[in-house]
Amino acid sequence: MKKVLFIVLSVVVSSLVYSQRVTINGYVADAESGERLIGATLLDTVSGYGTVTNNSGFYTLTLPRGNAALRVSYVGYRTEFIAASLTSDTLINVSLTSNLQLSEVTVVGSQSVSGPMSAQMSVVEVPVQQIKGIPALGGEVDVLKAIQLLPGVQSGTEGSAGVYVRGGGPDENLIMLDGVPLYSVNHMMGFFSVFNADAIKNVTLYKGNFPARFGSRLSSIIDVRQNDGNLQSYHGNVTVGLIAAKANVEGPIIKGKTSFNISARRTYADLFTAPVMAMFSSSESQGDFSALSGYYFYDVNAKITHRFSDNDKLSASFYMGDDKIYIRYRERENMSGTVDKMKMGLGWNWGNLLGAASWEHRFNSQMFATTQLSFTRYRYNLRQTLNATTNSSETGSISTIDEEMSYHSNIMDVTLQSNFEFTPNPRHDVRYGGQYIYHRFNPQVSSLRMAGLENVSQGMAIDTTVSNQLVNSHEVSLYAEDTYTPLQWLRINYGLHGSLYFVGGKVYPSLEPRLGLRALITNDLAFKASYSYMSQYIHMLSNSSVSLPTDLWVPVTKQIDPMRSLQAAAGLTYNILGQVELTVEGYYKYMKNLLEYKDGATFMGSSTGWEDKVSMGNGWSYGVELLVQRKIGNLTGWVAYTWSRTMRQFNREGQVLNYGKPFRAKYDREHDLSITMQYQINKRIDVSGTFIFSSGNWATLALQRYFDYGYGRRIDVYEERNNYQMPNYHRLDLGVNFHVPHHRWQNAEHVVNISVYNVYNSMNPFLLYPDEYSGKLYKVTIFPILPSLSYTFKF
Amino acid sequence: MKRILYILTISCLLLSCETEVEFKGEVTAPKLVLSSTLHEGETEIHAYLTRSRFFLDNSQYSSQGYYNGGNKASKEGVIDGAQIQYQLNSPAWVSMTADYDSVRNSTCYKATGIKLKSGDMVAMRVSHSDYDTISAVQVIPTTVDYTIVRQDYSNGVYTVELDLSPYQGASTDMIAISLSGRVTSYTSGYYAQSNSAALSQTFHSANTVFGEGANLRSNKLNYYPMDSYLLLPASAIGTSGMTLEFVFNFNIRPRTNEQTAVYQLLTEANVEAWTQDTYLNYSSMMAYMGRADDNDANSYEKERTNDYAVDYVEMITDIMNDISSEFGVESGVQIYSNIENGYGCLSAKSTMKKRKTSYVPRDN
Repeated sequence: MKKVLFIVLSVVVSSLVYSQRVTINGYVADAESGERLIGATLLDTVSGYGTVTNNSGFYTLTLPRGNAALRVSYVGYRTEFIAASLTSDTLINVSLTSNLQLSEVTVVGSQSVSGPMSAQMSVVEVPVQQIKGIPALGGEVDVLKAIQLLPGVQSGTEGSAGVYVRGGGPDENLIMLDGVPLYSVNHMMGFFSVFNADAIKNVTLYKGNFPARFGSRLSSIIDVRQNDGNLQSYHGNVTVGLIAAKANVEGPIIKGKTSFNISARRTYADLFTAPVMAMFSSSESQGDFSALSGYYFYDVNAKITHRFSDNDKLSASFYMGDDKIYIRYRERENMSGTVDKMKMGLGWNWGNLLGAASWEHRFNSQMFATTQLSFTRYRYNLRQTLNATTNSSETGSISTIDEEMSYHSNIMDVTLQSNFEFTPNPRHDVRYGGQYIYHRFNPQVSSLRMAGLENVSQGMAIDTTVSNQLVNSHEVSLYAEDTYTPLQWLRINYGLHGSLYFVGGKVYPSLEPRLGLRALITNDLAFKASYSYMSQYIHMLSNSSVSLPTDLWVPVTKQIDPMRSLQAAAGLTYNILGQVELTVEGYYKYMKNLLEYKDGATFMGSSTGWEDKVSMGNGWSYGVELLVQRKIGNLTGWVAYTWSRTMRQFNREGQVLNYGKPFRAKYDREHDLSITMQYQINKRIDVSGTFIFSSGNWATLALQRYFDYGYGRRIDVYEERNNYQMPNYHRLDLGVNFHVPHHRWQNAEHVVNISVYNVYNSMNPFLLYPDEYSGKLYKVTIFPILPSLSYTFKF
Repeated sequence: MKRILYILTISCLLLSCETEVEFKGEVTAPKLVLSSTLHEGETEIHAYLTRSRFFLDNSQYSSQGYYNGGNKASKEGVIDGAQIQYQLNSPAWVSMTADYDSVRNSTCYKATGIKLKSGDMVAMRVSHSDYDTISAVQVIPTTVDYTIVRQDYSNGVYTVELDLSPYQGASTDMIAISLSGRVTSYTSGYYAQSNSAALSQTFHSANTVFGEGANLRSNKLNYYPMDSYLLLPASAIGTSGMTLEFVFNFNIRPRTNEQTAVYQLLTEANVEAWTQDTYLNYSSMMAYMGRADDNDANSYEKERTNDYAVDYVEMITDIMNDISSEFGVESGVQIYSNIENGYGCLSAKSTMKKRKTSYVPRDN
């Protein structure tokens, strides 16, 4: 009885206490453009309560009645202090002024979603301004290459945009643009990513401690958000570099209410190849001969946003990007009265198409919702045509060939999702929602049309299409999570993500608990720990460590189970003088049902019977990560160091690899260090540099050879997978930007960027090969010192 | 502008280069390599012995890069002074004698005066003063029984049905089936030669050659070489046996509409029982030789689609393989070995052969 009375009393007291509270809410936005800011921090210095704006720039914060002193901060913006006397629920919109608009360079303070106040760990936000400042390969700024410089993230082969997070594979990352997954994030075999930095507002990487709202992938969530566009005035920039040209324009359609943002980019590679081909055709021609070939990629990002009021916002996002290889060949020959004509064409293109409509609604000061309908598709097409005619004036015969072959493959998703955020009181921050995804896998469709006339009298014609079975699948998920602050020093994020995957008459369920906690040791130092369980229902079939367009996505089948992972992490976060954030984390991750290809198996262009060509096994990874990051001030950047170990083991019956023994993952680099710094010397000049050092990749070398008389050939003996570590990788990149104000237009400027990739021409290995004649081992380097130059006009 | 672009491109190509790198791993010692296949019913055992070498050991090449020592196949890895011994169902070691194998152009070690039977246990060991002693053990598998239950011919398609009886071997053993069809022309006039395989949609080729002659001619129309085994695990046969159907697509036609031909079809089926070691060594060797697809145990179940489309897919596969190779991303294939302290394989097989003859209706 006493217990019951105590509980009732507690509830009554709590209610009385909370009835003494009010909730403030609103948006934090850029003062000049109206662009809402993701991850801005609000802290009431009186009560000590704080919060962070969500992906819509919205916040809600419940505080005691009375006086409050809000400190609102965001990286690259001047901190605002707002004093208020709170008597009832209030809408407070905050506008922050960018440093760029300030007359002097100002050091401003900021908390972050990964700082000591947050319960979230294993998350890194990289300000887009920093990404843009990093010296890049060919001068082409790349979001994913910046992410590769963070602790716990390994890159693939030299120059590629592949991302390997905490021992996971490149298909284990959920990479989203405005909340919509992109299935292929690479251009040019992975040397560049599809993200045009001009269109990007915010990039967040989750490598563990996954909030319950995320699912579908084992290893990471990379959440990339596009700019809404300036609501007040027109702005833009045009950049011309050695590899690509790009342009970005943003501005209001209805001032203060509707805005647009559009960016486009295209490479110049075909300008190199076309003249070379023309040169060959002129030098080798004996008849009438012409040939043209080339490669390019382009992408277009667009977003339109309309704000009906402070309660409702509607936005539409669009992305389209393609890589294209083309060859056109034409020949005409006249020999002894016989005229041969031939025309051949090859077109190969691959890329993504993405569209999304999002509606954000603020119900009241405590509840906010986002609903999104989206479409994403990755496809590749290959089309080859041949048209040839031989006309003999002597015999009068005509023979023709008219052929067209095409091959295409695609994966498409249509997604409907709703997410709700509810803050009933300062101790709870609840999120819940659901998602339905319709997946359509169309792995291979080939068609052939052939019309031929041989000596006119005998003809043949074929017109046929053949395809693998279309696979439809459905994924339904629900989640709920709560960030609970029972005590001032203790904050717990707990949640549950449940999903069902329907494919081929079978249902795969998954219930994934998530947990994260933060214990404040001091106001600037926190201990954090987390646990995540994740499932993944789709696999990418790829033989290559570089990204090829023939990589195929396939769903789980009766033979192939979903991949699962368990990850536990613990660490410390220390905020030094409000300027530098230091994070140390240790993690252990265990992965089940990973796929590796059986020895000698290949998927290139074929998904038929793929289940028989893979082995399922397990993997584990553990390591320690250190990140020292400074986001504010004249000198910004980070130092990231990772010590890790990643192993694989495939010992299931009939699926044995490496004789069933554990082996190192290809990208198991024990030490990985990156230092990224940017320094603004004055308003005209800023410089940047990146230094990278990492242990070498692992390669499989056949250390013994013999001649097999039974099969009559030489055999290379691969005693163990990934048995040889390639030489260490290191390089230094430097860049400098010169800003010259436009002499006539206010706020317009010219920017000249000079950057040098691999300054000291380090001969980093791309691959190793032995030369049996000389008995020596050689390494191939593909990116030696590469200077680049770009010019940007901003207005 | 173009000139500048060319200069920049060429500069980049010149700068990306190959450089020598020091090998920092363990320099492993060469090992003996033993290759031998034991056949049930045979009266001899043949074994081949070589040695491996370290992958950066180029001592067999001259400074000019030429092979030092004549015929490569006959010289590479040849060793002298080795002693090979075997045991057959008894603890007594018997030495094998060296002989010259003119087919393989190499030294062969032989054991004669024996008769290998199902269930026999054979052990081999090789000793040499410069190498670790190697050894292996193998058991001759049980013979498989089967019957040819059907042969059909219609519309240019020839079907053979086999009835496999339950296999009594170890559960890990494999069944290998090799079937050959043969057509003989008995009419004066014409014959057709075609090589076609249609066990699955991944294998298809058609090549028709017409010839003319007055004499009786016999030509193999459809032949499965021994390296295109259809491999089934013993568990697939089950306890009640199973029926396999093979379909051959023949492309036979007389040269002109007036001429006719009658064909005799002869089916020869070889069903072999393999030990697991034999299968693992063979399949890994096939994967090594880039023929993993040919080795697909379930391929006969797959539906034939469209030949041209399949060819096209294969063409794309080849292109992508080439690209992949250029990037140096081909993974090595581990060759299975059951040789203790060495490489190679001591394999064992039992073979059953059956033939059936039938006549194909007149083709016009």
